Amino acid sequence: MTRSSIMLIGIFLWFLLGCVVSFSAKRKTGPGIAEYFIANRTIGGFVAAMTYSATTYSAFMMVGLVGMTYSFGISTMGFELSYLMGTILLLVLFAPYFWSISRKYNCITPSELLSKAYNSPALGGIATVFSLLMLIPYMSVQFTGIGYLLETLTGIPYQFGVLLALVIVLVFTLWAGMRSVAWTDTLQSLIMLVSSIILLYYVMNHFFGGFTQFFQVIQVEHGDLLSAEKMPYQRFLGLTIPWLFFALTNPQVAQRMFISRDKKSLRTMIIGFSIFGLVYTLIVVHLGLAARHIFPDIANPDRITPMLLEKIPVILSLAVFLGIVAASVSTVNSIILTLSSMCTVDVYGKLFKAEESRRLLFGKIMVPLIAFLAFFFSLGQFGIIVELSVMSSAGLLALAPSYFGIFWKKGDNIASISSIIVAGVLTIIMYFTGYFPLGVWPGAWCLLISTAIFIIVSNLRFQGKANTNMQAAN
Amino acid sequence: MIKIDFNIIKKPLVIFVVLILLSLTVPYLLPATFLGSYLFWIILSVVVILYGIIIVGGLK
Repeated sequence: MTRSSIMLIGIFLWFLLGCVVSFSAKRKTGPGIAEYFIANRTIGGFVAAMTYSATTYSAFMMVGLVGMTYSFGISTMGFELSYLMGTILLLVLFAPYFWSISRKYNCITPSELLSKAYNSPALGGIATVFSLLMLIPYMSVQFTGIGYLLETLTGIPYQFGVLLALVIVLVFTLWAGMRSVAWTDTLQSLIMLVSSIILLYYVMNHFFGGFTQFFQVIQVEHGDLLSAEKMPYQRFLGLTIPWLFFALTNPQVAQRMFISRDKKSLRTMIIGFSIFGLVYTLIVVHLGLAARHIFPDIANPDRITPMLLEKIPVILSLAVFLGIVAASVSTVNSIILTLSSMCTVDVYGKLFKAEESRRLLFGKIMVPLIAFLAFFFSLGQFGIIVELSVMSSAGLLALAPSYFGIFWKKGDNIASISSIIVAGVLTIIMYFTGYFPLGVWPGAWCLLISTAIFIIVSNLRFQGKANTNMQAAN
Repeated sequence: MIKIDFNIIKKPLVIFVVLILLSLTVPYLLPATFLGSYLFWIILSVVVILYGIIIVGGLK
């Protein structure tokens, strides 16, 4: 049996297993919008932790981060661990309050929480349209990643690989909404973790003769990789700072703050994700360091993981490959479900006041619609898709001040709307023109501009309201 | 309008921000060995996780 046919059989069996899990979730799924989009807030701690982890960590880890570590050494670990620390901060400080508010005010989406916090339905709609614009390119990159990997490892054409990814994502998402996504995400995260642990163990023993020898070889022969300065400081900050806010600005992870059954489950979710994040990051970074010794001179670091997969036993290669596909699928299905819930609750629900069954039907129609949009996008030019995807991670930062503003008594709805629109549009302009003022990355500008606008407009309006109240009293 | 009192999160927020600032600065001053920035980043992450566990452990 050839390597590619073993891969294809493996994918089929994995898909079958996912279908069984998804079907079991379907049997447990009740009626209603809250049930479909957030599993009626009944997800237990372990599953919540796993779906949070699988949604956060995409194929970028095993493909992009391995390559980045190959090029920039442990500064890449610093970037990823700082990002993990930022996410833990936001989860620990914000998740308990957002969880309580979402229950008390029956919020299904993060944008609905924003619109209720600021008493502005328009804000929820704007946040939804903005998130749609920003996240579709990001999803497309996941589709293209699966397509290219399938083409490289199995020989099936790129377009067919992307179509296969689309079918898998739709089956896992459409069937039973959040419950299906959370359960299949649990399967995916376990595959991601177990396959990467086995891969690291194999690489350390097969190529180095053990962990001790690995540390010696890297220290003596590739000591430059252990210097933080391998990545220029400005680049390190430009990369890290925007990602610190990921847990708030990306709706697919922010929505996961609402799904826990109780506070104990929420606690388990936060702790479970923290441990998963640390372990997975360390595995990936050590693979990147090891790759530098195994393939000393590679011009394109994104090729490292596919090359590594060709050097290891086929069964292990299959497990790691499934781990990468699982990471992509679990990220994409979560984004699709969250975006469709936002379109349903914050746009359709606000515009048409339809009854719940019609809103649910609309949400179920939006799932394939958004998935097809990302699919067609992924058939375009790869370079442009990657550029747009980078832009999306920067643009979403415009939402950050509005979430922080919930903790500020002066925080205002007009300030929130204007900060999102102005900073978002300016970020898009910066990317399209290629003009980065002072050489600073647009993500940092987006955060700076949106924060400044939010604070200035909130203060002005707060002062205006105070003056009006004083005049009325006089 | 829903507003949450900032003072509730003020103290842990300050501690977290200090820890993250350490992560963004100190490793660039440490030597290029496994006992330098590599170990610092790992220990700091463990400290942040443990501090997070302490904070969420106090959730009622």
